[in-house]
Amino acid sequence: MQLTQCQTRLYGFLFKRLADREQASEVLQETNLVLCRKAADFRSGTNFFAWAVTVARYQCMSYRTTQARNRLVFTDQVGLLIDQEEEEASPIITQSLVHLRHCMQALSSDNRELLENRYDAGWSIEQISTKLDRSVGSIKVKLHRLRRSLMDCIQGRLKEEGT
Amino acid sequence: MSNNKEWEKEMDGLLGRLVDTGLNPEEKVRLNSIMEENPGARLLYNNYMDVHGALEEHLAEPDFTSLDPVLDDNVLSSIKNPQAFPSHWRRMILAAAAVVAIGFFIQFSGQQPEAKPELPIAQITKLSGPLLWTGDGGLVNRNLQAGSNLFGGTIEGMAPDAWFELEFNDGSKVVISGNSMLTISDLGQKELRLREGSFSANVVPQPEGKPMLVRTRSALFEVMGTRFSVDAELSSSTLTVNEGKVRATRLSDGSTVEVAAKHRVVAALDCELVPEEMPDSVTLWQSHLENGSKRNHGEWMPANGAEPTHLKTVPYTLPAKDDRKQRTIHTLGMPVSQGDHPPVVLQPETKVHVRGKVASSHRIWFGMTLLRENGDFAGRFQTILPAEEFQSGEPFEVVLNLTDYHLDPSLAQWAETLPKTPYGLIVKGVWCHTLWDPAGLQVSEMALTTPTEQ
Repeated sequence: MQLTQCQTRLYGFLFKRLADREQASEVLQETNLVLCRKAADFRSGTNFFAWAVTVARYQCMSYRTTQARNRLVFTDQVGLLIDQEEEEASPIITQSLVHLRHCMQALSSDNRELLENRYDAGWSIEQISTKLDRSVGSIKVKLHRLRRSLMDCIQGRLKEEGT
Repeated sequence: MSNNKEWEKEMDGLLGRLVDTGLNPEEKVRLNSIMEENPGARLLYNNYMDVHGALEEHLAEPDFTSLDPVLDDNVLSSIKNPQAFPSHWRRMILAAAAVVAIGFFIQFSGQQPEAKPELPIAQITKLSGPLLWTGDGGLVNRNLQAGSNLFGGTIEGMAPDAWFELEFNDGSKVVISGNSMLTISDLGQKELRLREGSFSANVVPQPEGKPMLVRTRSALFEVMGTRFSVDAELSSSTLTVNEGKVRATRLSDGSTVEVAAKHRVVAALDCELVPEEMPDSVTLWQSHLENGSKRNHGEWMPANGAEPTHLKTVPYTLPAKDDRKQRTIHTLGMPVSQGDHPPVVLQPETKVHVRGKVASSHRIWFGMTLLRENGDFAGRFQTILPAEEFQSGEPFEVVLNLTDYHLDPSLAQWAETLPKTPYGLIVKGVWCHTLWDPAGLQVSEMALTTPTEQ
């Protein structure tokens, strides 16, 4: 069940490095194949996600070498910087999930519902705008502001605890 | 380097579009260039994408479509044919097939499906009665022992006489007694989810900004360091604070109140979320089975002809650890000082009345689970009446004195820390049972009375 459980997180890892949904899905598929092929290499008792991420990282690097530069969003240099800076922040990322739950509680029920429509129900911006009878533009702005405010809330909580 | 305000404004637009709709080629080039020049932009990108990822992980159903290549080609070809399966079916089939594939993955890799976290989060300190622990990876354990380490999971009290106390690494204690189901976790912040029943806790001060979170179906309670208890029903939750302060949030509308010591609040749709002073204790109590089956442990039967409303015992088979022959207890129970009922305190002259019937003459155990004034578990006291007192198929009525009640022998190892007598203690619940044989015990009424106030 570990592979199914970490699909969302693996996708997030790849999406962040590739900044393109289709490319991230493509590399995730390759990653899953490699994980299954190399299943016997996984050592019981060790962190499955850490192992899966290592595989995903190599798949991402390999994918980048096979693509024309104009298909990729980030240059090698920026890709490397994202990797380095995330590595330094990895314990903070684990904490972020814990803080996110708390920060979500502080949102109004309307705002929570908007996020749930987008993430839980998986609705497109257009679907949400029809449901709420609001313009597509205003939904986009609202969602962006909510993410920024959650980001600030999480950062504030991390700062408070001195992480 | 671009001006801060300018790139930040531009990044705002780019990030929003990236996660919601995707970027066009020009925007992709611009994103790369801003990030190349500004470390602040990279930090913003990292943090924003982490929040987006965390929201996906926290709220979204996992997407299994990327597991396609792991699946059998024939299955895939039929799944990939859009005429063969509508999209939602395709997704469900993929999910199911993914589970099969992962099953193979686990089997062939010869590994355990879940790795335990490195450090336990709590330890079992005291326990007795029928309990079931579901831990990491869905591992079920009925053979719990004091001193065992816990890595997060769900504890379930299977009968009215279940009792379980755990201590987190920081010394905070949580106790469940009776039929309750509580999930515990500690990933840097303690979280408890009470699915049903009740628990009490004595929580040491928690780190700033990381209160213990207690969730029920209807409420969220944030605890910084205090002594309190929670009682959860399907549509309402009652929080009683003995010491300190707890923030209560009603989930249905997000309304929040602070609940101070010696106060309690009921989070339910049909009443205002207002803390009230804990009611004075009382010494009388009577069951009202005719009002419904709510919170009782047993099979509730409505009145039928001459037969009054009653509760029938339900079986609980002991694990091999407690009874090598794995025999069965037939038990029923009723809550007394729970939910919004005032605490019922035992006086030396209190009498316990029980009306009921047995199908076949049998010894019957009558007991009660008790609490101290601060909500701490105070033991189970019980008395046993011989089979001769109960005629097969005949109704019975017994009146028991508190002097007849003694500490349940299964708590003997903790007798030093528990009260010697039941006097002055709060009755959490009353119960009765027969051992090993299904004697067909049923109870239609139970009451606690004192001669002067009757």
